[in-house]
Amino acid sequence: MRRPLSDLLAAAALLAFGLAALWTGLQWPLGTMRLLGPAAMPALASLLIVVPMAALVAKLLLQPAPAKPDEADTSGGGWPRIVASIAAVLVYAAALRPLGFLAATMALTLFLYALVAQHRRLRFAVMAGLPVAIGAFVLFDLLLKMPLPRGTVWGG
Amino acid sequence: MEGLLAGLAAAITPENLLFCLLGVLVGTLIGVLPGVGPTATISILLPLTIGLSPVTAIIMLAGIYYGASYGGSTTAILVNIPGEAQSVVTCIDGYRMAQRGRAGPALAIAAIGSFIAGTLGALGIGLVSQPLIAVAIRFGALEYFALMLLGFVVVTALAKGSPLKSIAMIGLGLLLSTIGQDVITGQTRFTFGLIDLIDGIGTVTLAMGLFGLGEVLWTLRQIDERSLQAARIDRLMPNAEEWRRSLGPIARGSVLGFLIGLLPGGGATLASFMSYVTEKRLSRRPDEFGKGAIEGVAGPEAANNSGTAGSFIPLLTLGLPGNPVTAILMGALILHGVAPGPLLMTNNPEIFWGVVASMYAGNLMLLVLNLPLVGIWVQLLRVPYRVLFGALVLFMVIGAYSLRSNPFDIVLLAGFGVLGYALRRFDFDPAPLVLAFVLGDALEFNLRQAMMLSRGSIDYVWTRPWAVAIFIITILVIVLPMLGSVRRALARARAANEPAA
Repeated sequence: MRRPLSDLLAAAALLAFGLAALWTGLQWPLGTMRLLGPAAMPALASLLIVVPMAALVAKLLLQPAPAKPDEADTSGGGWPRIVASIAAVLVYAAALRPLGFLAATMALTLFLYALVAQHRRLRFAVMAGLPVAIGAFVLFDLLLKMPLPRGTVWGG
Repeated sequence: MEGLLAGLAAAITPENLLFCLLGVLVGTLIGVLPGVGPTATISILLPLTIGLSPVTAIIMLAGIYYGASYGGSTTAILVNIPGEAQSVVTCIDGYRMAQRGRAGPALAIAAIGSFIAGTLGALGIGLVSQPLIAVAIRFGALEYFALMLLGFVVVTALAKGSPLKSIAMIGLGLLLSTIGQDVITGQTRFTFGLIDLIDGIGTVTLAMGLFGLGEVLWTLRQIDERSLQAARIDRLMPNAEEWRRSLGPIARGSVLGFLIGLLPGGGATLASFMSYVTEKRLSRRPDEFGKGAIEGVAGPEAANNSGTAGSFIPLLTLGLPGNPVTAILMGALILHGVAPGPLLMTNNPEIFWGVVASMYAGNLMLLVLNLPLVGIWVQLLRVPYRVLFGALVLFMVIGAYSLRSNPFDIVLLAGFGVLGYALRRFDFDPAPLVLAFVLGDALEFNLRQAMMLSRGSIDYVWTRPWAVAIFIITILVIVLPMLGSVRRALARARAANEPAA
């Protein structure tokens, strides 16, 4: 079971985001009822976030505390893998043009498979990651002829 | 009839049949595999279709959508795991039938019922579209705004979690759609000086991130070896009694599913739940439901397939997608330079009728292939998710890059992946967000145009009777859930609408 505190924090974060978007959007002209300006839709959309989330925050703050302690929140595990996966994707985006598609893809797949291996990380990464990387190269570069970077460090 | 014959001629080329087969096979595969849904799959494969003709691309992608319905029922019956949200209700009686040694007849009835309903649904598209287009041609900005509003209300009613959260998701989707240059004034909005955001955010990147990468990250939390015990399949064919009991539910499910699929925001999941509720109410043996009643398989399976077909109508005739999958298909049409809407049948009849005709072919392929291949589908469930994980991420990353050959799209993919994970973590349904995002530009354009035409006066609304009718339907959709039985069916549908698309 998820703690109400995490619900409250999520709603509050989204409320803050909506307020920030509303404040940012209002720097553009709202226009008139006849000629809506560029700020109209951002303002409306922001209010669709702010109003319900303010109501949800109020509801969560006003609801009585549970009679028994909440069970441990088990829904947020695996953080290191998640962060590492996202970091790998971002590094891939930065490295794609310099290293080229094949090298960058091999590095990505080796890393991702090493990340999820249960035992013998390197072996699993090589056995699973290399075929996937090579298969992707054959499919996208050779067969589908997608314009993929060759790698500026290799003179591509 | 001439249009359908022309569509058949467009659809039954060897190339299109091959891609139709590929689409339905991929669709069945992802329907069988929990964790990857048709929305993410279509988003991932969409960039690969750029080199194909629009007809071929849409035939293949549509095949994935209705193929997923077939695949989802296989795992629902054999291992009590719904591959897709629309197969949740099939678990109830389908798995019980399998436990009683009737797995084969359950699978057969699900496949045959799906085939009949899907074929009738394709026929229904042809029958309903032309009168609908004749009306839609007269629609103006206010009517389109009203229809989109109806779609938002319906999807809010169906979305998982609290309505407050769903409304916020609609707001977030609309907000994301405003990023970029305002088409009317040229003002750049929320770009923060980044040139890469001038053209806004791509639908495919957003959908892949939210539904694809977000889902993968969610599964990463508890990645484990999947070891499933599937029920044994003895005899495949139903007996005479099972056939007799299934015919009525299949017929009713086909009609009910199609009508629900027509609604903006409606679709296969709600259709399957409403069919189950209906069959239980009409049955002479309601106490058998939940213990292996074949009506509980036949009706919902028919309904979810005809609902899938029906959901194409708002997309093809009005240019209004009613759910995330058809929203991505709309993105596919636009990517291929085709404008969905009332003029699609006139300007691109080969696409309109080609898609409809391919549904006949696709449903036949699914019926012929699924029953003999059921053993293979079950074996696929034994593939550990660890093996799929890296390939899924790689496909998404390449797909994102391929849209504009811009690494910034990979960064956006990562960002939306994190957002998709966070939404799941805190029980926000991403479906309203995607629908609002896809419709956001059109909603804003139509709203501004309607306000201009109205000169800011509310009296303008009363001069548009179709808009008034749609607004009234919208109000009814808000009020009706307060009635007891409808509220219960919606609650069940909402519970099943996990973001597994």
